[in-house]
Amino acid sequence: MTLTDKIKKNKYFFFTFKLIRFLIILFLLDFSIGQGLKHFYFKQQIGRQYRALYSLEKTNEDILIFGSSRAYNNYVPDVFEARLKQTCYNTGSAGQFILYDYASLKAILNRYAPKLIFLDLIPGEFRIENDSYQRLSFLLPFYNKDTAIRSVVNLKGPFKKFKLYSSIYPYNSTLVELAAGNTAYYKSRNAVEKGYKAITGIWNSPISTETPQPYPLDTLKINIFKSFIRDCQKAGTKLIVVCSPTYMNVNSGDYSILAAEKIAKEQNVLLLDFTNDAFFNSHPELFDEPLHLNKKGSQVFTNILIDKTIGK
Amino acid sequence: MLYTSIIFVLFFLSVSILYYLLPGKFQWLWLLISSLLFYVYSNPAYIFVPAFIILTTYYAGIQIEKAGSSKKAFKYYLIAVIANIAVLVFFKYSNFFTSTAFDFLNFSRQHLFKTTEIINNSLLVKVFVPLGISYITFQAIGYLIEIKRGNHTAEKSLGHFSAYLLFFPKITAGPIERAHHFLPQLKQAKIFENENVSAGLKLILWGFFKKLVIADRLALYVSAVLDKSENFSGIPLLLAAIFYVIQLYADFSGYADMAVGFAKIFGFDIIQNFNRPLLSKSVTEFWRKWHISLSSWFTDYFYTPIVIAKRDWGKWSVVYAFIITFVVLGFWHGANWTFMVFGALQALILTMEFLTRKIRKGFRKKIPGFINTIAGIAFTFAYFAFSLIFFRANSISEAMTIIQKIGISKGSVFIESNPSSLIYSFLGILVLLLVEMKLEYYKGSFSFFYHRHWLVRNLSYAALVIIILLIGVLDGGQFIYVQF
Repeated sequence: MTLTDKIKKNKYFFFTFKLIRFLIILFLLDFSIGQGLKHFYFKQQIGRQYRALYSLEKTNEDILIFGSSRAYNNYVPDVFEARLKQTCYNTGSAGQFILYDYASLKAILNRYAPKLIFLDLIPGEFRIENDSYQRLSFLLPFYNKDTAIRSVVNLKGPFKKFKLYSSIYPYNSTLVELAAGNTAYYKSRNAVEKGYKAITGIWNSPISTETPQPYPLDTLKINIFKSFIRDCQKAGTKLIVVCSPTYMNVNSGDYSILAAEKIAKEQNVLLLDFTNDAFFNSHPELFDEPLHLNKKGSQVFTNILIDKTIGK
Repeated sequence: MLYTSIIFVLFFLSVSILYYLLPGKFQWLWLLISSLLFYVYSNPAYIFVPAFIILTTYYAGIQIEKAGSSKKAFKYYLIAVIANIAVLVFFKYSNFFTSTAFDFLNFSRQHLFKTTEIINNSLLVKVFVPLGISYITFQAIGYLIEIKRGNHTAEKSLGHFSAYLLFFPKITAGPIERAHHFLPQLKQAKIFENENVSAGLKLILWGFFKKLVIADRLALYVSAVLDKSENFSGIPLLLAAIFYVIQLYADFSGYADMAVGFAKIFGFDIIQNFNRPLLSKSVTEFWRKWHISLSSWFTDYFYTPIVIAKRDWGKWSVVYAFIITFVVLGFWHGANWTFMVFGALQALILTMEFLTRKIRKGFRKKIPGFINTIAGIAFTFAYFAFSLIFFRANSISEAMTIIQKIGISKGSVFIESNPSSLIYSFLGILVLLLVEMKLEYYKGSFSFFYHRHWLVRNLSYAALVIIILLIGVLDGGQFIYVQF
């Protein structure tokens, strides 16, 4: 009786044998495809992933901008550079908030200390929302490369480590962007200047009035905001926290921004809140839509921000 | 506990390993304990709801059988059925009835007393819907009807009966399993069978693919557009409406495949809830292939009794039964008027198809077969997509606005600058379409998944896992970023 016959005779052994055989094939495929994806991921030259890669591993600018799409679209590095004669990069990333900002900051501070950081916060920044933790998946390609990032990504949940046994998993849903990032396909369509993307729409609807409703705050996010401040102070980096303009009348303060103001005051950090700013609320032509400035608006805003902070 | 979560995978692994280590006579008990754990994990406080249904139905079943065909039997039957319906109505529909009552109260106050003051219905306590409540009650009612009709005997073991109603693979999304099909299987000792376990694992993998690669991916586009429908028009709304049909099918049938797969690993055969309904050539055929366990439940316990009761009306008894059955079936899906419109639309088209069946048959003979097939599939899909706009909308007026706006051919298919999510969506749909068409039209031909050579089979399944890892929505971190 051959070994195969012996295995086949015992159904438990046979099943285990077939399962292991399948898992070996799966492992080989997963590993080889994963290595290919890794190679192409870190070779990208353009796109959202490239900007994350640049922010985390290559920035050396004097001034850095952190935040969500409102940072990405509202702060113009060229204006900072022209007026302050210092280099500047915008690390803002659409749909990412304080957790992502802090992971990026830790990775950057491991390499060097920028002179000045602008951190853009949005209303609702510290809201309890599981999605903001899940969105840290964007940083998974860096998980095994950077311990600083690992500690923040681990906030996603206790099972993350199991999923990372797969070599493909960190690059889940990145195929199309990888293809674009490794070719010049996007280059002409996606003009991004030093991390900043200008948007061209002009808002022409009447101003709305919002009354923020109370909501519970995520203490973990608040602690991460405090750590952001503390790490900047330790590194000797000047930090300015900003809530950039919106085209709306807001009846009372947003709970997250109020909490941030309190913490900033305690930590002696400048926080500028442009919500209800009379100038921006009377110029809809500076907005693409109520939450994002357009190209002209972002230039005006950046100049005003410099005037109010460093330039004064 | 989602079937696609790691916590469930760990739970299932430990349950199934211990299941086969236990002696056959204790296996059902282990399934019952596991099912209770599964239920308690979702909401411990609500375990009393299925407990009440189980005890009432179990006791009534025995009493109905004992009383035979006497009035006493009917009394037990009636009390137990009403108790089941009352539980379902209370937990599933009380929010709907109370908010409707508040709307009516406000409407009356405004018109009778000319006041603009509105009584805020947010003051009401919102009732949480217990896990699987619809499936549990429908199985229980079906069980009672069968005993009352004398078709089946009452289950004497409370433990077996509880395990039947609570069996965890089918509690989240069905199917509505019949007692006479399930209970005998529960009493048999199960031995580990390679074929069962591999067939189960294959079904689970296919279910994962449908859920993670297709349903969850399409959900990103559908939610981005339909949740903010006021910001979109024309093409994106039309595409979202089409995607929603496929999303719902992939989601629901994905869960059903997983349920059948999990049950198969335990050695159970439970009903396949879907049979490629999106390739149906008429709405009548569609409802024979979509949510089969629910359709057959309604056919046996609702539609057929109505047709029999009204048989003097001739063909109008069928029309009447369609209307009643589908409006109730629509309401079963959720507590909103939109679901009733959805049901009414199904009744309308089924009536049309029923009344014109002879004319259509004659017409079909004059047209080549493949044109008939394509036109039939396209019409059925389009009609179902149209009715699902009501199913998905929060109100009838919202659904009407979406339908009106679809007529305005404006807007881009790409609602974000990055088209990757749409590309993955189309890739997933393409794989689904190829597999379903292969199963529907070319059953006996070459198959990757059932190939004779183990390497081809293994590579095919590994490829499916790789596709899930590459383009599946593996956690809630993905989103479509839309600026307005």
